Amino acid sequence: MKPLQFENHFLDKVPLCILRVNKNYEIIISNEASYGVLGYRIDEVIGKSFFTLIPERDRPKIESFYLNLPFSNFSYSESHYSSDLYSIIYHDIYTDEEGITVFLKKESIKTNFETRYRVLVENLPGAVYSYNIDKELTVIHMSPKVFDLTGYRDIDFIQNKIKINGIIHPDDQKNVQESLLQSIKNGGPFELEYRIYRKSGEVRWIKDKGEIVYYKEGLPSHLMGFWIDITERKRAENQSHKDRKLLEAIIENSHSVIFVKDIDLNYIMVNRRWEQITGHNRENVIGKKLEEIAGLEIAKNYYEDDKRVLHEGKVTYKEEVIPKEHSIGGSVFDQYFLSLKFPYKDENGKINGICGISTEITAIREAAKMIEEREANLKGILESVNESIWSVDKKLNVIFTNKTYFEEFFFFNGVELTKGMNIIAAIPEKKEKKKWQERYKTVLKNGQSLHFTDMLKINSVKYFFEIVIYPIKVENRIEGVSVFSKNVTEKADLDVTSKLYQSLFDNSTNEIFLISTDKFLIKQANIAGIRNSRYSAREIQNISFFDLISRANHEYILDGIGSVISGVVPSIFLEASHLRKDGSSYDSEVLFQLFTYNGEEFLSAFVTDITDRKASQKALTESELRFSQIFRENVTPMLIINPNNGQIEDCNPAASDYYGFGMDDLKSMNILDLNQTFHTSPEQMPIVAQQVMNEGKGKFKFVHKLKSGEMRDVDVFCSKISIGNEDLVHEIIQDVTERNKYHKALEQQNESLKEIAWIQSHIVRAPLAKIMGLVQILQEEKEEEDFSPDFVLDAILDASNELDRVVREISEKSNKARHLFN
Amino acid sequence: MEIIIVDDEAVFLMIHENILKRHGVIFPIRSFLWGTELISFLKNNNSEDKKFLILLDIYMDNMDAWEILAYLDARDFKCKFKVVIVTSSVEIEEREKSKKFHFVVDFINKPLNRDLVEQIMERAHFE
Repeated sequence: MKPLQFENHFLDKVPLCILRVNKNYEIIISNEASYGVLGYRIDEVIGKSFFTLIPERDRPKIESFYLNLPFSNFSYSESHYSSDLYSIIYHDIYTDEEGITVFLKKESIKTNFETRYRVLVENLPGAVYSYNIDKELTVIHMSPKVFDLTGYRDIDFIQNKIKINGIIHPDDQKNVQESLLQSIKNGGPFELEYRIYRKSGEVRWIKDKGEIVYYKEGLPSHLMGFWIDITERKRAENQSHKDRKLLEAIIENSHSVIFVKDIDLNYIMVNRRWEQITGHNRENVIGKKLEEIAGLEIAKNYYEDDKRVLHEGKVTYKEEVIPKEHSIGGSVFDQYFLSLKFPYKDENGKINGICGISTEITAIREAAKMIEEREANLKGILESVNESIWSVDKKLNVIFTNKTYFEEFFFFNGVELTKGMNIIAAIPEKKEKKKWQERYKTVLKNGQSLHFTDMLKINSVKYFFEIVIYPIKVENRIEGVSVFSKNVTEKADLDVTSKLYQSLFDNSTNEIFLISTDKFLIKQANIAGIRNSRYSAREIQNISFFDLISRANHEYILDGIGSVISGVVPSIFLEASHLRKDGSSYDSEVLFQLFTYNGEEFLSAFVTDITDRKASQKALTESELRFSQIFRENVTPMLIINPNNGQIEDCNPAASDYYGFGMDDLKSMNILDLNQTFHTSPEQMPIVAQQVMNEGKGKFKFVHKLKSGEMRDVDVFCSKISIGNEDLVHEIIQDVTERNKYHKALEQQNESLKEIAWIQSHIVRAPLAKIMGLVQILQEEKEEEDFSPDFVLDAILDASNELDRVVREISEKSNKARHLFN
Repeated sequence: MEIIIVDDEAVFLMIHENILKRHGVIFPIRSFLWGTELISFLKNNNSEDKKFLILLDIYMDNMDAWEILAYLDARDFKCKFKVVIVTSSVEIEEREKSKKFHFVVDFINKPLNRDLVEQIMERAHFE
C-alpha cells in the first residue's frame, strides 16, 4: 500500500473525515480526522465494517445508494445522526464501481439549533403539528411521525388531503371543538384526550397538548402542539378501573364483614355487611378508630389482635360471637363469626394496615349444635329407659350399651363392657356364649328381627328377660344388630310372698349379705351388695365375707360377730373398711344379726357405705385444723381483717409480738391504727379492699406503726377467705424495713465504688504515669555525659508524694463506704 | 506537619516533648497548658496548607478534652488536623466516647514510650 502513503499524507490535511469503503462495505482508507469525528484512530478504522460506525437506521439508505445508482456520482448531505453533544453529518457521499467515499463532518449541537430542534421533533414519540384557526383547520406543519400515529403521511395533512376533524372520533368531536373554543377564548395551553381513527379504521386514543398562538393584535392565529398515542395507557386505566369496580362490587356485596384499617387503626374502608352488623354508617366511621365508635371497653378486645397483626405481620383467626341480645340486625340467634385478620403491605413489603374479613358461620354452628343436641337427646332416651339396650357390629364388637345393660352385664358376668369389645368373648359362661352367638348370627344372616324370652338361673334364682334383636341396616346392608332386653323376672311365676321378699331384698339400697355361721361364706347377696363389691353375681357365691373386709378389721369384726352368734347380743353395729374385688376400699357400717331360714342359721349383714359422710367430715376437720394451725403457730405475723370496716377480727401470737400489743388489745383495734399508709391517704383503703375482694388476693407495700411508735416498711400479702357467710381478708405481714435499708446502703456503696474507680483511673494513674515517663527519660539519659538528672529526680519525688497522698485519700473513702454498708 | 501537645501539667509536657524528640520525631513541637490556647492557635493558623497532630489530655481544668473535641467538630477548619487522646485514664468508656469524633485517630495511655510514638506517627499520617 506504499503509493497510498502520499495520498494519506494529503488526506490528513483535510478537515473532514474521509472513509473509502469497498464493495463489501469494509473501510480501506481513512484519514487523521477520523479520530476527531468518530473517536477512532486510522488504524482502528481500517478493516472495520462501515456499518459499525453509523446508526443502524442509516444502513438501508447507504445500501440503496450503492445498489441503485452504482455508476453515478451521488452526494447526500442532509442525513445525520447525533449524540447528546454533537451530530455527525454525512457531508458528501460518492459512489462508484469500486465502492463508496464518505465525507463526514462533526458539528456541535449547541451551535446548531436547527438540527437539534429537528432531531428532537423527529425523535419525539408523538407528532408535532401546527394548523391555522380557520374553517378548514389548514395544516401548516406536521412532523413525519404522524405516520406512526395515524397511518397517514405528513404530506397528506399538509396538502389538505386529510382533515384533522376528519379523523376525530364522532363521539369526541363536539367535546374537542368546545374545549378548543374555550381555550381560544381564555388563552393559555390546553390538554385534551380523545379518540381518532387510523387509516386502517382502528381507533386510537391520543393526548393532544398544545397552545394557541396569537397575532400581535391579540387575535388567535394558529395552534401548535403535539399528539401522543396513549391508547395503551387508556386501555390499562380502563382495565384497572374495571378491575377495581369489580373488586369493589364483590367486597361491597360480600356476605362477609370486610374492613380495612390503617396503621393507626383508623378505618379506611368498610363494606355494607359491616354496616349492617355494627349498625354504623360508613360516613361516621371512616377515619375513626373503633374506640370512638364503640367505646374503649369493646375496642380493647379487638386491639390486641390488631396489634399482633401489625407488629408481627401475622395472620390471625378467631371465632367471635355476637350474643342475640347485642344483635343490631335483630338476629334471634347468637351470631358466630370466623374472623380472619391479615396485614396489607405496600409494594416495598412494609405493613400499611390491617384487612379483616369476618364470615358468619352461625348456620354451621347451629347445625353442629343441633346434631349434638339430637345425639344428647337420643342418648338421654336410651339411658333413661328401664330396659337394657345395646348394639354390636357385624363382627359382634360392642358399638353402644346403655347404662342399664352395662350394669346388668356386669352384674351377671363381672365384666365391664366397653366400646369395641367383642361381646361373645366378654361372656364367661360357655353355654351362654354359644347361645348368644347363634342368636346374633341368625339376625345378621336373615336380616329379620328375633323375639324371644330368655331365662338365666343363678343359685336357684331364676331371672327372666324379654328380648328383641333387630338388624341395623345401612343402605340395605346389614351392618350390625341392636338388642332390647327387658328384665321381667317379677312377672315370672314366683309366689306372692317370696316375690315380695325377693323384691325387697334385691332393691334395697343397703348391701345385704347372707352369711353361713360356720365358715362365713356368702350364701346370697342382693344387687347393691354385688355391685358395690365389683364381683359378678356368680363370683360372689361362696367366697368368704372376710374377703370383703380389710385385713386390719378382721379380728375386731370376728369378735363382734362372735358375740352375736354366741347370743351375747342380738345384733351389733360395727364400722369396717370394705374391700372391693379391684382392691379399692370404702368405709362402711355393718349391722350383723342372726336369723333362721329353713331350719338353717344364717348371719345377715346389712352394709351401709359411709364413704361420702366420712370424707366430708374429714375434709372439714382437716381444713379447719390446717388453717388454724397455720394461723396460730406461724412465726409470721398474720391478721384477719373485716374489709367492710377495717376491724381486726383475729390475729396470731406472732402478730401480737410484732406489733407489741396484747392479743386481746390487737383484736379490738382497727387496721387504721396500724397502717400509716391508710392514715395519710385514707382513700386507698377501699381500693385495696375492693381489689382483694375482686381478685381474691393482692400484695401491697405499706408502712405499719408498732406500739413503740416505730415505723416499719412492710409487704402485706392479702387473700380473701370465707368464714361462715362472711368474706374476710387474711393478711400476712412481712417486715421489709431491714431489706429496704440494705438496698439503700447497697446503692450508696455502689456510688462510692464508682467514685473510687474514677479516682483510680484519673488521679492515681496520673502521678504514676509521670513517674513512669520520668524514669524512662532517666534510663536513656544516664549514658550522656552532660546530663544533670536533678530536675528529673525532683519531679519523680513530687509525683511519688502525690501518689502517696492519693492512696491515703482512697483508703479513707473506702473506709467511709464500709461504714455506710455496715 | 506540626505537633501540638495539650496538657494542664507542665511535667507531662516536658516528659512527652522529651520522649517524642528522643524517638526521632523531627516535626516542630508546640506545648499548651490550656485548651483555649489550642483553639486560638488553630484559629490564627487556619490555612489549607497547615497540618497539625494534636496530643490531647482528657482531664484539664478550664476546658477539658470533650469540650475541645466538640468545638473542633462543630466548626469547619481549613487547616488539617488529627487528634490523639493521651490520658492517664484506663477507662474503656472514654475510649468509646472518643471514637465518635472522626478526627480522633488514636487513644493511648500516659506515659508515651517508643512503641506508642511509632504507633501514633503511623496513624497520624496525612495523605
